[in-house]
Amino acid sequence: MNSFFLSRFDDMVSSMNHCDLDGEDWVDTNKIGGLAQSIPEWRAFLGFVSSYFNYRNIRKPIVLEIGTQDNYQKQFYEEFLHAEHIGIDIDPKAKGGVDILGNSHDKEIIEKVKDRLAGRMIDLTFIDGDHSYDGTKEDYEIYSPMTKHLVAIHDVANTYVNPAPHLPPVETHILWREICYNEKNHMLITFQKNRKHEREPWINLGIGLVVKDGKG
Amino acid sequence: MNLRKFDELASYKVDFRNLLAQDMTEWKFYMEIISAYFENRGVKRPIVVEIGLMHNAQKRFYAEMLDAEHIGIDMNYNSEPDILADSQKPGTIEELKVKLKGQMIDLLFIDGNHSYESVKLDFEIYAPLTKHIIAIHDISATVNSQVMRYWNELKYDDRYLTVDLNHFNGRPDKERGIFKDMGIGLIIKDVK
Repeated sequence: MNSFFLSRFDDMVSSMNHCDLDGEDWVDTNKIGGLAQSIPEWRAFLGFVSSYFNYRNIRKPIVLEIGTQDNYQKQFYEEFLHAEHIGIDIDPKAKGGVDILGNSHDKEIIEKVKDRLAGRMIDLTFIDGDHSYDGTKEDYEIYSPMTKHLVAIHDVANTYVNPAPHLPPVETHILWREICYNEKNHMLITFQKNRKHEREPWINLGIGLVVKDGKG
Repeated sequence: MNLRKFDELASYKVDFRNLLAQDMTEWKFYMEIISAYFENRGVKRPIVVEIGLMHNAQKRFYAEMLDAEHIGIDMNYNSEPDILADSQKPGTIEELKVKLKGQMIDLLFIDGNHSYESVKLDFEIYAPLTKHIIAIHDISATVNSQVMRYWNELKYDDRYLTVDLNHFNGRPDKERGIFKDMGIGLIIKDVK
């Protein structure tokens, strides 16, 4: 990866709707959609992950994404990592298509992932599912053992407990604190860009990353 | 970044490794993130200013891994600093500006006095002279350090993107019955 990364990244972001809503109303459901990322966090995360695989000569990593929403992230994984991307989502109405439709906790869905992997390990798992403590923990406990290198969890800086009536409470920040306390052997990296928002300053996102081969 | 070269440097000598006052896992991933950042922006020979050198063992990594121009500031003569002085004295800042010749610092690493007031003052003096990244050491240290308190203020400042690097090794200091976690925090100024 070289300085091409930045210009291509900016081109891709500017061509799509995204949720980098400094000063805007995050809970307005009309604004939710497209690339559901803080752009500075997403850029720094992708920059690190791309280099991580590049430095280790991993040319076509397998990326598992749990909770693809509109599936905008897929383009970035394919463009910058040349990844084989596997997306899971529970919502049949999710835009952009999904590889595996269903609940990531169900045995049937886990078997579908295993079939797709055909004996290989996942290189990067990105957990962005139901955001409850129990649900995210279950995703982590199921898919982390199937992952060789990196496990990312989205929204680890989001402490907004009741985002909107149709969404479950966001408790991923609680799980991330627990992982930071318990995972003594792994490298832990947190990317965080706070939002400007006078009324709801706690609605940040944040990406937590567990580097499993922390010894390098 | 050439990982093999890093591993060679890191395993150079047991004595040398011990002189590097870093958790080696944190140091490696810190180097990776910095390398990737500069590679992505075409920064070829970054200027690195380090406040608080201890044994000055970091300099070699900056030189060999980043091809950096390194300027070290320390009050201790034995650290072999480029500027032998208190980082917060006006004369020190002037001396650094002479060495910078009008250029901005690309990477600032703050590892000086670990009191809240001191780390805050180092940040306030040197961050405006820095173009890209400000690193602060010991953001997770809980012994003889108030860095964590200031870091938590910076993390919630909406002007910056922050990156926390932690390898909570739970390494015990048996004599004192405490854990010696360190942690490196990065402030990335460019958040456009």
